Amino acid sequence: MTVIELKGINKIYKKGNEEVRALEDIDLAFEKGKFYAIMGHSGSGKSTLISILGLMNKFDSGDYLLNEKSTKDLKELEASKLRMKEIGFVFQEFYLDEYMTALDNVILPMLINKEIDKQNREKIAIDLLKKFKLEGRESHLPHELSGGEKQRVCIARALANNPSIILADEPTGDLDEENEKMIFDYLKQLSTEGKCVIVVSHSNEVKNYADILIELKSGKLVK
Amino acid sequence: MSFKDQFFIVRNRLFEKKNIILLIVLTIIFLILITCLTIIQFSINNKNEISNLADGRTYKIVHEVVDDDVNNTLRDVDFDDEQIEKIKNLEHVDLVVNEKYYLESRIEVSAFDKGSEKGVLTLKALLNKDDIKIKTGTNLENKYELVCSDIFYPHEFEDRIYSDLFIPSNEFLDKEIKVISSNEDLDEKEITLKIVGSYENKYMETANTCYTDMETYDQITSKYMGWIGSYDEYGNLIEKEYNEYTDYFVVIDSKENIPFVLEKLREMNMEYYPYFYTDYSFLYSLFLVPLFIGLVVIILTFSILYSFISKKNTSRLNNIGILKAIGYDEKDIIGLNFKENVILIIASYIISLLIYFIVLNYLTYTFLAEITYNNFILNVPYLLIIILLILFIFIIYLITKLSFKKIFNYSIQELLITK
Ligand SMILES: Nc1ncnc2c1ncn2[C@@H]1O[C@H](COP(=O)(O)OP(=O)(O)OP(=O)(O)O)[C@@H](O)[C@H]1O
Ligand SMILES: [Mg+2]
Repeated sequence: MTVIELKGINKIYKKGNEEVRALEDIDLAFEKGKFYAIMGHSGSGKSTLISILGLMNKFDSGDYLLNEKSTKDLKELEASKLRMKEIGFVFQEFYLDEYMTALDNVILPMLINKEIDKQNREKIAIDLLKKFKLEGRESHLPHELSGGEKQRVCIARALANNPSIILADEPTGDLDEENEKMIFDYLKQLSTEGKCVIVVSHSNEVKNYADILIELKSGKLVK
Repeated sequence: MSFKDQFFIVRNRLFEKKNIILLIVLTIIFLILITCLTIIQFSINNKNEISNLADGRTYKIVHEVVDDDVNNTLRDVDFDDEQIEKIKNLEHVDLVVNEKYYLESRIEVSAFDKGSEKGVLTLKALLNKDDIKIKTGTNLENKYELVCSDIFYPHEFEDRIYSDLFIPSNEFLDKEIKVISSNEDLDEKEITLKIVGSYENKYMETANTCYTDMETYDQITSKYMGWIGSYDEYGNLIEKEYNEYTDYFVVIDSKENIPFVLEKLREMNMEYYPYFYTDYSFLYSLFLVPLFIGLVVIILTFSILYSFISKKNTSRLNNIGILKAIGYDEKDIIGLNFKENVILIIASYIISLLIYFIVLNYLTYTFLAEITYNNFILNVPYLLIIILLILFIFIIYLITKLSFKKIFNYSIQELLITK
């Protein structure tokens, strides 16, 4: 089932007189239950693409359909709501709230989800942490966790509101091989559970997991 | 988001270094402002006590004096018109007048009646033409003329003032008004007065005060200070005994010559004491200084708080990016920051009130009590203090909202990569 459709997406970064064509005429479709790997050299536009997919960045032309609805003219409020409900993020730098415990970090996205009962939040968060082998780590602050553990907290947080899309930008960039495999395993598992998982990675390891490989070169798709 | 949920997020940040500094700054600002409010309140409450000051040049010579030596009894001091003439001729004496002309008289003027508000003027004798500064029209030249306040409110104003009852000077200039004299010697009691000018006046207290010359003042007012009645066994009035105005005021030409004149008065066996008058300008400044400081502090506060909160936000761009990435909208984020700042404001408000009450207590019962030999009560301006808190919460709301305007122009991607 197609959740995302990109039609002729262009993105140009302007700074003063300089223009960088970060993405050119991108046509792509993403389905639920599949693991997508986006690869390419540094500066090829991978992060730009995934931030557009995550409604975190605007595009200049083309259209982006999420669940068959155009996101071109979304208001800030509607875009936020979609991010909360439909999209979960995993970043290379983790981006956990450093003042909050692992548990609170996972609860954080649920605070704005009216569909989750207040009493259930903590239980959902604990279950998610358990799923990623983090029991006993609930009350730890991010700086008390290893990189691999932080990334698992990050995945747990991305799943808090049970989104259909998981986006990960270099999720294993700061991790060793062992942890990289573990993270890819978990992400793969999520795709088999029916989520659309899109991962940006430099690492060749990701090829072993990907159902579909997407390659970018200077902002263009390599066919 | 409920407050509880907001607090769930905010509590972790409250003890950030930037917040602690903000807390201290806010406490100092509150202390300054609450002190200003206390002085303003104090100057309002103690208007009369504070404003009675001596001008230093005016002395009252009296017929009766409290004798400290003999059990505080009243002792009579005799002097006659001849002696008054002698004082008038003394060197360095500007003016000698009966106490009557230092008082003021309330007169009703039906020409100024408006609705249920009676027309009322406070009449004073102009002892010296230079005592007032003419704004429009002319100063007093002839009998039966009046010069009135340029902010003119010819009514009583104990409880309330109606803005539509003020009369601009061009409407009362050259107006003729009829008043009923209280002078016992006159057969024809109705006297017509003409307003020939207005004098410069800043104070509401004197907004219905008009000056006339001493002779006209005599004609309009009673000859007596008052009377004491004697009654028969059924309580009917038999006889009135009138009290005349007997004391005199002596105005000395300059401060240096005061000892000289006082020595002369002593030689003549006169009893005198310095005359106190009401100095509204002092009251005005006591009120204005804290008001001015308060306003300056509030304006400074606005810019200080703005730069503080902007800096705080800038240091949190990454965190704002995280919140946006996981679905928090702009309203949620402003709400979180507003709550955080409100908590800081309330905390510093409570701390500054604690300090304030401790210091106030010390001032009231120890320091001021010692230097004034009695309990010098400083009233706490509760209402103003509560208004201050509400004002600050409003200010912080504006500032929080303003400070996010620029930040929300960045894309989430841009916010996230800032560290
Ligand atoms: N905010 C920005 N302003 C201007 N140019 C930008 C901005 N972000 C990215 N770019 C440029 O757009 C192009 C694509 O950048 P992007 O970050 O998408 O590449 P990437 O494939 O993720 O690279 P890497 O593998 O190094 O992360 C690059 O040339 C980059 O310099
Ligand atoms: Mg990148």
